[in-house]
Amino acid sequence: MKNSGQITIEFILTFVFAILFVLFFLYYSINFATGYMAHYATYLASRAYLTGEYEGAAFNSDAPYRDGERKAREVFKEIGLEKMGLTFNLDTDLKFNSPQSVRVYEYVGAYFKFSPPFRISNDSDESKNKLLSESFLGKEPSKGDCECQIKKAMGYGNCLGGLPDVADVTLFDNGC
Amino acid sequence: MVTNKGQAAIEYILMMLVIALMVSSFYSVYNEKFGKDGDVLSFINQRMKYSYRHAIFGSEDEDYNTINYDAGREHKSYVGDNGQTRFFGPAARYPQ
Repeated sequence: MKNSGQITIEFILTFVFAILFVLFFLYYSINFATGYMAHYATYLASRAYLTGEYEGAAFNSDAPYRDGERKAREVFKEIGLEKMGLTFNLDTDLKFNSPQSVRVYEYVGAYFKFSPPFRISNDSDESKNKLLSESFLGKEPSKGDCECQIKKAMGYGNCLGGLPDVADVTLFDNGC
Repeated sequence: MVTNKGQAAIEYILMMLVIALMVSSFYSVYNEKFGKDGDVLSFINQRMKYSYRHAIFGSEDEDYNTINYDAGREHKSYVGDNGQTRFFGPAARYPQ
């Protein structure tokens, strides 16, 4: 009996195993690499949310939070995660916890849910195939809130009223 | 007189049956462990999901549809025993 096919058979078996081994790690590496980019984009969004505010936001309104979200979405979009194979809806999958919406301040910031380039679950429930990235950096007080704090520190209780011109005061930077 | 003419064919058929049985039983075990919803891949994927979110090892199944950040201090990255959260901390309490 001839053994001429032995090498071919061995090569095919080893090659298939080696290819599957490489693909397995490639599969997870790509998911993790794009996942790191998603973490980075979420962090950028959270950072923009932290300080994002347009001029003229009224005291004690949610306008600074809405402004922060708008700026955060703009920054997030620039990363272009969809080009890396991530599947998501920017309007519904990138969300924000505002200081008004959560009781625990540590959770104020951005979080982002997405499907990675390669499936991680074959479940028909699509939510099982999602990864979650969170970045909770908090939210700076708005200019309206700062103005109110300053007025209160100066002895004028009403945040909405204007400052009288008769008072001589010295202000110090309290971080606002 | 009995001839041996069909012996090879019978042996071939029996051998094929045994091989088919071996392949099918191996395939079902393989699918159970390494298939798309197999134990091994499910476990790896679950660990990936958990460690991706929390930056710590774990395999707890979390439903991202029902996350409620307003529920209190339940986030596993923040709340847990020593070495079980994302943060450094003293191994023992500082002396009072």
